[in-house]
Amino acid sequence: MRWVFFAISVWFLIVAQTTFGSILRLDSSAAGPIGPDLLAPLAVFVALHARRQTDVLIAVWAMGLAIDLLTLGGPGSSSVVGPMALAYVLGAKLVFSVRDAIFRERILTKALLTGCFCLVAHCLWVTLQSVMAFGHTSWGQYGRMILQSVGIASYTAVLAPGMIWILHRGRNWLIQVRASSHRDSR
Amino acid sequence: MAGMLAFSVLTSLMGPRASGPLREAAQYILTPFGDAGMHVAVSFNSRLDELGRRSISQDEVTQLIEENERLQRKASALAVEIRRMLQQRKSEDHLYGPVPYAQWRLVPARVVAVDALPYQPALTVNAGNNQGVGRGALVTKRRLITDRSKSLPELLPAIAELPVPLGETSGAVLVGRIVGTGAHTATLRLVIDNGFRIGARIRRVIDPVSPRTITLTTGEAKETLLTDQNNAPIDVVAAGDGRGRLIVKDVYAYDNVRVGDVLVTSGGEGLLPAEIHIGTVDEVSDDPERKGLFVHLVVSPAADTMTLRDVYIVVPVGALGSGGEG
Repeated sequence: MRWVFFAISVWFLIVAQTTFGSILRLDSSAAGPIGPDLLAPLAVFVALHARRQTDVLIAVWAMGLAIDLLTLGGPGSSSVVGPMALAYVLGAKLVFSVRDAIFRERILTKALLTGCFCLVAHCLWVTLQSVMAFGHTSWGQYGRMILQSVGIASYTAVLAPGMIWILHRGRNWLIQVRASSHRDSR
Repeated sequence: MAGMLAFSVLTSLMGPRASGPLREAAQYILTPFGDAGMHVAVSFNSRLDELGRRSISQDEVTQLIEENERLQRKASALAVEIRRMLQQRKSEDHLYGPVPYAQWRLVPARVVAVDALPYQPALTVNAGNNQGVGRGALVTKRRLITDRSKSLPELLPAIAELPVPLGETSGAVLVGRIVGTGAHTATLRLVIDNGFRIGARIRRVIDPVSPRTITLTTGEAKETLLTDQNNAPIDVVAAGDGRGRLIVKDVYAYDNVRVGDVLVTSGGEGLLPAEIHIGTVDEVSDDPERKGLFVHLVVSPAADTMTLRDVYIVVPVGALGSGGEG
């Protein structure tokens, strides 16, 4: 991993998500606002291409923590810091474990994986936050937020090909690539 | 790696005690760069809004300009009248006893970031403890539409400066409440968010074309026509539903609230000195468990939360404000 460029990319995406991100948000009367998780494609990209599992887990943990720090709203009165870091780590671990079994150079595969990663991470985040806010949230609210998670995952998967294409172009800046990167995954 | 995971678990379990200071520190990295991004986002949303609107003919433009001028003259005259009345009241208060006035000031702030996740998106504004903003302060937005290239009429800024008729004269709308503060930033929870609750009032609009009957409960209960004399405000509690609207429950059916009636702040609340527009009743439905007795109201917010940029935080001067709800 090239950590400096990675940190700049995460910072750029976080600023984009907390500012321009509001342009991309859609209002759904059933679920509430739905917007993309711009960090998810980067997390999946890192999980698919970084050499060592430790690098992947540290990178996605930092991304999850950044989201946690910049998200106040959630089930109950406010959300706590920590669950998204854990959820991102679990999601990335799953992607890392299947990466040798898939055609990971295909953009559509990556987009699909991004959707799955997002769904796992966000459902887990909603569940953990709801558990932490036990007594201040209802089953109805939990169900609605799970619906929101499905919407966010689908939306992110739709936008993912464009972002993944950009990440591919800047791959050498993010990850030190070796010719036989497939075999190095373990 | 284990240390990182342990840190996440620990901060999760510690709840707001850990998340408050950590989030405050994170704002220092984000806020300086968020302003420009939010400017682009809000401009884009505003332009999108404009595109969606119907274009108006030249005749309608002329008509609107004339009406605008007429209203400006009226507003100027009213401002003079209000100033005169306030002066008079001040001198009367001085004569009849030392009634301490609650003093309020509006702290201007700008939205510099939104939540990273869209579940219950709270906003970050660039005013905090150092500007006197405290937790619980209510946040308004003025619906003052003006062209930047034109100067405002002479008396218009004076109207905004008047301390008491804040809501009536400035066209302010309630945007939300401050739920967390740092040194230079504060977190704003919108009126439509799930955790937002406020004591409010419903002002029924009297429409001469379709009059309505209400049941008076003072003295002997009887049905009567709603008029200016018996149109008392209805005290309610409004709460955000997390889906872009507010919900008001337990409203008596005999009060005959209709679509188009207005939800305002209760005015007497310690943190806000005036009745300020919150939204308009969009839907009235029977309470499923107490059909015929109570109704539920769905209220559309008056503030456009998608294009929110410049806001005003109502800050009590001194220790006169009491804590807010929810």
